[in-house]
Amino acid sequence: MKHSMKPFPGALALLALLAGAAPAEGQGRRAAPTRVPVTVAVVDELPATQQPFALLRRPPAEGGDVIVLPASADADLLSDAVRALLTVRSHQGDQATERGMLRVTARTNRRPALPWAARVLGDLQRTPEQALAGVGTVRSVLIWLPPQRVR
Amino acid sequence: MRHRWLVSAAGAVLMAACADRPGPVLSVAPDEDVERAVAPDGYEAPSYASESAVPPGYAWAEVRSHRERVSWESNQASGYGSMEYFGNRGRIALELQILSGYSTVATARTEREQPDVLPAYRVAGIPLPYTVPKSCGQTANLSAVYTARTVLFIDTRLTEIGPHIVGGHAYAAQPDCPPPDDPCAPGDSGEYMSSVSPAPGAGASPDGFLYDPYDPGYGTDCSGGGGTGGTGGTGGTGGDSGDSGGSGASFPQVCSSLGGKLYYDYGCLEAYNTETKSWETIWCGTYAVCET
Repeated sequence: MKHSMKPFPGALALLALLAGAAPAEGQGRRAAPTRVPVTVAVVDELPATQQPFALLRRPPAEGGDVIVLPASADADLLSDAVRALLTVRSHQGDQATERGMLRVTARTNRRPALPWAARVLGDLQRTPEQALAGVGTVRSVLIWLPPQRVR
Repeated sequence: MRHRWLVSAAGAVLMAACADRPGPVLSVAPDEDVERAVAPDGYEAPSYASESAVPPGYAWAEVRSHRERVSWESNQASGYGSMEYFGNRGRIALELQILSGYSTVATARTEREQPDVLPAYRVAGIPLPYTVPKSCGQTANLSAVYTARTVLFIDTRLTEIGPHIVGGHAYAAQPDCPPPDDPCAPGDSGEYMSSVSPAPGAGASPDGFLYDPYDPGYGTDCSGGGGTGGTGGTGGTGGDSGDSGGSGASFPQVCSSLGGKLYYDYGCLEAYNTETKSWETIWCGTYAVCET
């Protein structure tokens, strides 16, 4: 069964997300990063999957993982999205091997917001819109998360 | 690899299924006659507790996982066990034995009641911390026998009911000692990897918290020399096979060294299928996540 993204209604440009994108620029090469990047983006319209956020996986050569949040996102929602991504990575690996949109369900407990989530959301609000390959012209920031063990 | 234990109202435990995780294998398909199930090597046959004091409509059973050993040289150890069961209520107990040689020096035990009325699939994960008394700089050569013992009574009104032990871990946790000047092991190249905030050259995180999400964790790592293998976790029945060595540290240690903290949870991973416009489950189970 092939899994892939569904187009975002009203935001078909996001389809190009699956077509690949260059990795974020500006990352140093002093040594290999020990953390794993993810782009956090804010969009006006999410995919019509009845989900509060979209978790998109792409191989690193195509731009890497993307968390797509609605403009109304708060720290709890970003934290949920980050934890969902960490869970996905703990199962599939830190680097995606194929594109897809995923979600994590049946979590036993909701955990408190990550301490830095509000700061990142604030930065997202202040960041000027820029082109994010496959997503469109949106506000986005790149953050780094701890690597996960592959099961 | 997953085992499913089906418990009849009479308390008989039937083995029925296996799935997708490493570990001992029960070579039986879901619909096969349970008589043909083959227990894995080292697996202790389940013992059945008395059925007295079991509420009407419930059965209960005691299931003990096979035991695995792990050794560590640290001043802290922790175990983790979890169990899945089919049923909507139950009582669960997990044990971790700490051994020195062949003698048990400590046993950590915890028990949890699961009173919730839930769908038939449920996991309980119970951490079992144990601190080995010793001074910083010393090492303690201990081993652990992890026993995921379940003492249950479970609602038999569901079609599929039974305890389902999915895994146990015994980790050598980060020593609670001052950080060494250079933790790289002999033979390693490079310098201490300082990816824990304050970020290199960036000072303290503006949040005042240790983790800086904008820090890629650059630094010269210790991996050049190959590192010494970390103390791996042990897999309980049907659980993880343990951390692999070679990275120089166990997963909890790596997580901690990167400014993260480990937590365990349960969930299902689902992928969106654009053809059917629906979410499809691709995996369910317990997992350890290193979060910030």
